[in-house]
Parts: sequence; C-alpha cells; structure tokens
Amino acid sequence: MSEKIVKPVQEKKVTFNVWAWFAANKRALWTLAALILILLVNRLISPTFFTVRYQDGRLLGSIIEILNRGAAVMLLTTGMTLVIATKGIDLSVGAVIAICGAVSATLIADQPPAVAILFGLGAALLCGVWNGVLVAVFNIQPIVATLILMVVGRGIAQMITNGQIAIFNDPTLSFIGAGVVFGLPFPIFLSIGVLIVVWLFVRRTAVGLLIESVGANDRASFYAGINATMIKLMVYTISGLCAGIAGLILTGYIKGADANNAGLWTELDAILAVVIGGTSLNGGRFNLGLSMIGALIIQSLYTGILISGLPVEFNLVVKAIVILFILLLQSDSFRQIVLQPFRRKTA
Amino acid sequence: MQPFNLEVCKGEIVGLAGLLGSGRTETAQLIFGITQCEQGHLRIKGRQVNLTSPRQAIRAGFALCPEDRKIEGIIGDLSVRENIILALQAKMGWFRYLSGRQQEDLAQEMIRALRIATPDSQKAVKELSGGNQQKVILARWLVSNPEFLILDEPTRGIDVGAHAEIINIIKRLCREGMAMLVISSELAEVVDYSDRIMVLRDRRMIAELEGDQISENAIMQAIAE
Repeated sequence: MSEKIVKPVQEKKVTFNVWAWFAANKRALWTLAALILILLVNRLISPTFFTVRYQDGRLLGSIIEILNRGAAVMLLTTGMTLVIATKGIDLSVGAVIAICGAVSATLIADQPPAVAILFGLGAALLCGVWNGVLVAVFNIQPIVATLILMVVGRGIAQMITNGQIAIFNDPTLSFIGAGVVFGLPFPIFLSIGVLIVVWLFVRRTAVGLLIESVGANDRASFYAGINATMIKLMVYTISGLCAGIAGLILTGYIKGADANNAGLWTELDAILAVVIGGTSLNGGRFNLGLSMIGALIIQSLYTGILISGLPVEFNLVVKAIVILFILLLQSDSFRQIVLQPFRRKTA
Repeated sequence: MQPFNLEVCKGEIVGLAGLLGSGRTETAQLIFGITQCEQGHLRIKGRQVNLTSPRQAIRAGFALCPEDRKIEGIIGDLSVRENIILALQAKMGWFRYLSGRQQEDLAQEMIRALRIATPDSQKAVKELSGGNQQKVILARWLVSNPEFLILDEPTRGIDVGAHAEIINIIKRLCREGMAMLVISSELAEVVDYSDRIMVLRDRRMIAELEGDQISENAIMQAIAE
C-alpha cells in the first residue's frame, strides 16, 4: 500500500459523444419531448397558439399566459422539489396560499402594503416552520404532519377573513398578481427569480448535496454527521415561503382572498410536477430545472384544455390521461415491455 | 451494557472480541454518541467531553465505519465522489462548499490510496462491490482526518482480495499514528493486528488481553469461561 504508483497523468480525450449524452439524459429528454408534444397539440387546436402580440405596452399570447398562470405552480414546485428530495411531502401548500392571501388581504384594509405583504409572508413562513418542526423534530410522517395544516389551514384562513371573500383595492398588492414589467406579467419574474435564488442556495452551497443525502439514506447521513433535523426544517420552511409568494400572486390577481378556493388542489399539481420532473417520492436526487418543465407541462395542459373548448367536466379526465401517458413514457420498464416485440434478437 | 473501562492510545489498535450480541456494536455506538450512557464519562486527551450525537463525536475527531454497510454506511444513490466527501462537507457546514475541483482531487487521491475499483468517481456507490463500498466508507472518514477510528466488522461480506487490502489499510493507519478500535468476529484477524484485545460477553467486559497473552485460544477461553 505504501509504494507509490507513478502513473503518467493521462489527458482525457474530450470528445462529445451525442449518443452517450442522449443515453445519460434519457429521462430529461423524454420529459422535454412531452412538453413540446403538448405545445404542438395545443398549436393544432388553436392556430394562434404560438402567436405573441404586443398591445397596450404588454405582450399577449397563449405562451405568455402559460408562464403567467403557471407562476404559482412553479413556485410551489420549487419548494416541493426540495421537500420531496428529503423523502418528505408537503400537502399543506394550498392551505398556506389561502392563509397568506387572507392575512395580506385583511391587513391591506388599514395597513401600508409593505406591512400586509410582510405579515402574509411571515404567516406562510410560520406555517412552513410548523410543518418542519412536526416532521424534523417530532418525527411525524410528512404526509400526516402536513395533512394537519392542509385540513386546518383553510379554516384558519376563513377565520381571518370572517368567512367572507376579502376584497381590496390596493395597487401594490394587485401588482404582484397582475402587474406588467418590460411588457411581461410580473408573476413570471417573481417565479423565475425565486427559482434562481433557491437554485443558487442549494447548488452553489453544500445544501443540495446534503438534501440528497438525507433523502437517499437518512440513517447513514446521521452517521456521517449531517444535521438532518436542520435540513428538513429548512426545506419545509422554504416550501412554506414559496407557497406564501404564490398566495400573494393569486390574491393580487383576483384582488381578493378566497379562503375556500384560493390554491385549491394546487399541492397535487406541484407534487405531480415534481414527479414528472423525475424526482422520486423515495427521496434523493432532485433536479429543479426538470421540475419546472413538469410544472409547465401541467400548465400547458390546463391552458390547452381551456382553449380547446371541451366541456369543463372533461378537464380532469384529459389531464389524468395525459399525465399517465407521460409517466408511462418515462418508465423504463414500460418502454421495455412495449418495445419488446419490435426489438431485434441479439444473440 | 454493564460498566466497563476502555482506553485507546494514539497509534494503537484495540480489538473488541466476543460473540454476536455480546455488546460490541453497542459499545461502538455508545462511544460515537449514537446512543447515550446512563452514567460514566468520556475523556479525550484528559479533557472530559459529552457526546450526544455523531456530529459532536466527529467534531471531537472520532469516526465510525458502521457494521451495516447498506443501511448505516453508504448513500447508495450518490456518487463515489459525493460519498467520499460527505463527512468532511458535513463537518465544514452548509456554506463552505468544496469546489468540484477539490472534491475530485480528494476522491481521486482516495481511489488511488485505497485502490477503490471504480471506472470513475461519478459512479453511483450502490453499483460497486461490497469490498469497494467498504473502502468508500473508509475513504469518507479518512478525508475528514479523524484521530480515533472505530471500525465495526470492517471485513464482513467482502471478497478475499479486498479483505487483505482492508487489513493492510488498518495496519498502515495504525503506523501513521491513528488510534483505532476494531470490532471483528474473525478471531485470526483481530489477533493479527491488535495491540490489546477486550473480550465481551453478555454485555460485560470479561477480559483484557495484552502482548503475549493475545491468541485465538485465549479469546475462546475467555468467552467460554
């Protein structure tokens, strides 16, 4: 062992093998292909789908609308990706949207907008910390721990708004949901900005690696000296905050906080987006970029169904079928079974 | 566990022998802060410390290669490189992130030093053989530069070649001045490298063998008594 093996440093040949790259990123490419396919189908349904017009100082078009209306789901997906990577799940984000919206919309009546927004976000942060404490400190299973807030959250939001839809008329708060910057809706900037900040936080520091480690094997991570409690507390807090920002967008967009319906079922969209993006519910490896493609797939579907003019009751069925199809496309075993009869026998 | 005294010095290998369930792994977990003792204390270089988690034990310069490699050791989905730097990175904290270059250098150094058989440092650790996984865990601790290394069954379920290599590594680390506590069920192996051997039975330390007293027979006798 002690003898040194002197080896000339071999210069690795840097040849870019396209097929090898394709094989290594198969899952990513299938996901991207699914998004493009859905967009193309949307184009078949509506010939003006890819058209972007400039009118009254803002860009208009279906693509812009997908990004705009998808901003909330993208925000939720950002936080949800981190939570799922630690082998957790956050069912409460829809309820947190309602709480944050209710707090801001109620406070805006007699407080400056900054205070209303900060308290709304503070409430969302608190919700995230609450989930984090239940999961990380008291070791309650994530699905149960966050179910508590999912159930009770809308009740809390209703108590804050006194059971009414809290309507307001404040330009700052409605700007967050409906403002226009450089011709583009403000929520687009907000969701992409948060995505970049979170990405820098996890990928430019050790946090991302530690999240993946805790998610892949929390016992071994504990033995290796990783503070899994802090990591879990942090991801639920980030998820709460992301839901809070999404809550501000949805509240600003309709200029009111609807405790019953704001962000209803969006937690499921976010979870689906993460799964489509290839992060396993068993925790471990995660990819924020692919999660975003997942979120865009869901939103494109939604928009596609709307512009196709199908009856409303078809919406969920079509959505379910398409998502099933995408998940089957990504599944290695499914592709093997389907392609088996067509494969040439190799001796 | 019944009360016991255990002292390990720099450059010394202490073997823990005993049958399955005699309390060897429990001893290791106690020292590493995974479980806590009801009474008693731990001194490092004469200074009394209280370790209540692996994190604190690692900060005190301890390291533990656990018995159950798959559940307590490797992070199967992560790459060889990530597994190797994990303990060091956890010690350094969230924000002092080792650069890709530093990570690769550490990983390559360890892959060479321990002869880890892997095509490259990016391979997922679960795809390696048992012996190489064990080496990766050893490497994880070596880069974190511990002063006291606890090995729990380091050679269990490993092929013959890797077995001999791991024993060589243990001896070399000892020569370099590391204090070590090694748990093993293979008596020939413990007898070979230990300076002292503690024998456990029914969660009780029943014998301490030193120097010429060390032999497979002496251990068997102590256990059978």
